[in-house]
Amino acid sequence: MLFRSITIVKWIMSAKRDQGGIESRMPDKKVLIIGSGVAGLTTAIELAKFDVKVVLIEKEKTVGGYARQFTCKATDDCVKCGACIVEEKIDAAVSHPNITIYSGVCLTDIVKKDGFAISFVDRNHEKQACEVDAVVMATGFQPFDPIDKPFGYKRFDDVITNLDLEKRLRQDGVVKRPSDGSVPKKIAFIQCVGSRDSSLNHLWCSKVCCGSALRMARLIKFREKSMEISVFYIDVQSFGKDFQNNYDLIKDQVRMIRAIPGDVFLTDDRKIKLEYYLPALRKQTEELFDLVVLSVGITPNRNADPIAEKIGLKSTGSEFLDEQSMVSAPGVFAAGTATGPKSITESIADAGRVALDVLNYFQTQHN
Amino acid sequence: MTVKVLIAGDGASAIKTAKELSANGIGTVLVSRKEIDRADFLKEPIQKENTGTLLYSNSEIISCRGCVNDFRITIRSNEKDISETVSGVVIAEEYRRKDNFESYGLRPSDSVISLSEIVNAIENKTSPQGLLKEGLKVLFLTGCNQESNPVVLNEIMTCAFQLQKDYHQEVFVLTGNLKVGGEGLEKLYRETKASGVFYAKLNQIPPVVAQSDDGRVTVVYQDEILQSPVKIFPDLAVVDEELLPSENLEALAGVFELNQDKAGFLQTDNVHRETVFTNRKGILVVGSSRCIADHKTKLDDAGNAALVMMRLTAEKTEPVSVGKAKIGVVECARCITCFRICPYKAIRLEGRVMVCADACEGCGICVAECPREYITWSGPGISDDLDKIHVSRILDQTEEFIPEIVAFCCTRSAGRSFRLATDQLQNSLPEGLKIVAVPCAGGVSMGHILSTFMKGADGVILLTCHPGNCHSEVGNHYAKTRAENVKARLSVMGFEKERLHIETIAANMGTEFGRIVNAFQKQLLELGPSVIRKNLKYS
Repeated sequence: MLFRSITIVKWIMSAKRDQGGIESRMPDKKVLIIGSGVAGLTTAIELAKFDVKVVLIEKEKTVGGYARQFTCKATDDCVKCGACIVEEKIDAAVSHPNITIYSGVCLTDIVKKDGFAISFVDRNHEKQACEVDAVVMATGFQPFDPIDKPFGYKRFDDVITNLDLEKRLRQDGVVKRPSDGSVPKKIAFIQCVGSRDSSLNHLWCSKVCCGSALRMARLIKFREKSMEISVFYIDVQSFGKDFQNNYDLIKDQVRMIRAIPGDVFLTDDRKIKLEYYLPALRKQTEELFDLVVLSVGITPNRNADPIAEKIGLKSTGSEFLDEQSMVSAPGVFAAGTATGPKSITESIADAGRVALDVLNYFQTQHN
Repeated sequence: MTVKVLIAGDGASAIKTAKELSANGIGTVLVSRKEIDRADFLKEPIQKENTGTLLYSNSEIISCRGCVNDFRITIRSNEKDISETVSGVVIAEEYRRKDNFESYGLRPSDSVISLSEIVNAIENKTSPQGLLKEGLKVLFLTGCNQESNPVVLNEIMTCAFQLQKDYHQEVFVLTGNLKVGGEGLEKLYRETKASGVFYAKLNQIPPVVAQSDDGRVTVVYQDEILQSPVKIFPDLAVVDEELLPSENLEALAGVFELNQDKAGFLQTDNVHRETVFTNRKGILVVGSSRCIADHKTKLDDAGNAALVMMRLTAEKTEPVSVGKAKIGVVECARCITCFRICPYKAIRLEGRVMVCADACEGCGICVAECPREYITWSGPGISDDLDKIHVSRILDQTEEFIPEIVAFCCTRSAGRSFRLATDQLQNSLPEGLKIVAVPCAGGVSMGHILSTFMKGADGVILLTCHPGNCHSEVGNHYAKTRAENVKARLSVMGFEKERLHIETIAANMGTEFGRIVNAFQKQLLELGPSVIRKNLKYS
């Protein structure tokens, strides 16, 4: 009876027996991580903990990527947007002796040899070169540029993106109209700008914009009770563990309209006029807003294409980096939104798993 | 020493985690409540020779003593109790699925089935009930009365696609919000639509679902574009399911003293628990045991769990003793206050009340709460940092009043936002601001606050994490209660209670930090110097 329920499974492999304990520390390995967003930082920290030497390069002057520009969206309570975690990651990466961070760099060349020979120009315009054993593409995403959409972005001052709003809320705490600095009374959020859009061949949901918009809407309402907020959407996507409860709360404070507006106009008294089809009334409706926020989608970072090609990744057109194509490029990995839309916490989870993949790759090389 | 990790569960997450651990030289003990198929483990023998997996079928975990690096587990297997000592634990139970028949007012019948039934039929490519018969008219009901999720939608679309393509059935999907926020789901949605699956998205008005005596279903819904009712009379209605935490999680939460979220998953809704952490060091939770997890989340979690366990063993060689709580063995009156309140369950009752140093996160809540002050820090603590703070005496009544502000800042939130504020705002922070960085605001005791006033501080401000964002779960709550308590006492003493202020802040809010401390300074300017400071003899 006991025999049946307890089974000891032991695999005796023909491999060498000289390896006594666990050897997960790899002080002789070096990894290049391209991009210092939350994914790049996480992979760097995880690898560094195993004594792997990490070179982390960032094209911008500051580290932290997009998530570092986001605001805390807590009302009375934390709403679990994860933006604060980025600061923690930066602290950990900056203080780790195994991580060397170069920001404001331009990667000039990367050549596959035994490992990879890389050269770049640092922020002091000095040429740097080094050899690494593996490369992690943590090149992130590009926010969709809504300039070609009929929403009046860059034509009307009071049409901004969700990323603009994140920055403003972070810096000023309150939301103001860019045109005249006044406090808006009516705000519209337009979801799915550049996501779920077959005309652009963007056949993906960006996953995070519903959560981001609704959390910001709630924060704005929390600070300014009289604000009227409408959200134009296709389908509300779940965010957070307690989505049903949170969404029920938000629905009471925000007007949810299942329609995406067509054209956008500027009225004589400098308001933004949205035209949309309201199914319940079966007619085209017009409404004026003081501020319009476009929830722009997560799109592939085209700036990373030349690097991807150099290290043997297939260019996949309008798509994100494909993890399948990594198979044909040993030593090359991708983490975070480089492989598709992810929230901050999903990027962290992905980047942690990629760190393990890198360690496993070194192990197989070693054996 | 060989490192061993216990895994609770037997599904995809448990197997994947076991494989990742074994591949990295960590032995595993897998405990399943059912009979486990050994073949699942033999498929990919990637393990190193010095590790193995011990499988306990038809078994349950009944107790756990000790803490990280030394968990002593009792497993009940066929009425026999077996002890195992492991370094870490991974909880990897799969979902419990609950059908939603009731929410649509339906009862299961030949023509009303749950999502699992159709998933199984398609997987097995056969159905004795004739679910896969060619030409059937099938209706999926999902997310109309409550929100669904991407995991369920993925199953529905995969089924719909196959029924339409391989079995030439006519498929309708009636849905609320279409949860395409998962990998590849928008694409799959387009593909199914192109292949002929018909979707109707309902917004305001839920469908009217009726079931006749023979079990068949009629659904009438208001088409929001046509503005007219549409009637569907399907041969088969497939009702979606809720994904709930495994019924075993409740028991595991008890055995391992883990905090649960509202739904019952073994990870609180706290960003500091991301990705696979629980309130206890060395106990991890993966996949469907921590949230509604899709395939990718399960893979990522297994990888992250392996990484954490590998690190546990690597970190063991590094000395860890500074910044941990220490109980005075002789003095301890065994009131077990500390045992009750430790958010990390690092205080154990094993012969005596003791702190498990490996599990202690150094929040200091026990140090602040011990009624007799018998718990101290190993290494320097908050009191030592406070000793370094000096408040300047007021020498001349005519000089400009610069309020002396002491800010107790939780290093995880306010400590970081202070740094951002200094970077961004440069000199616009109050001149008399002095920072005491604390591991958790819950570690700031009444004594700390009162002695700061005794030093002559004009104001004391406690900056804590937002509720729901405290790494110690309740540290900010303790700080708040204590601050209210001190305020009440100050009032009784005739000391302005406004000189003590408590506020919550996040790590990334530099401007907010500036705003809070500047507002506090303004308030202190109105109050003038504290009576204690005015009477300071020495400085």
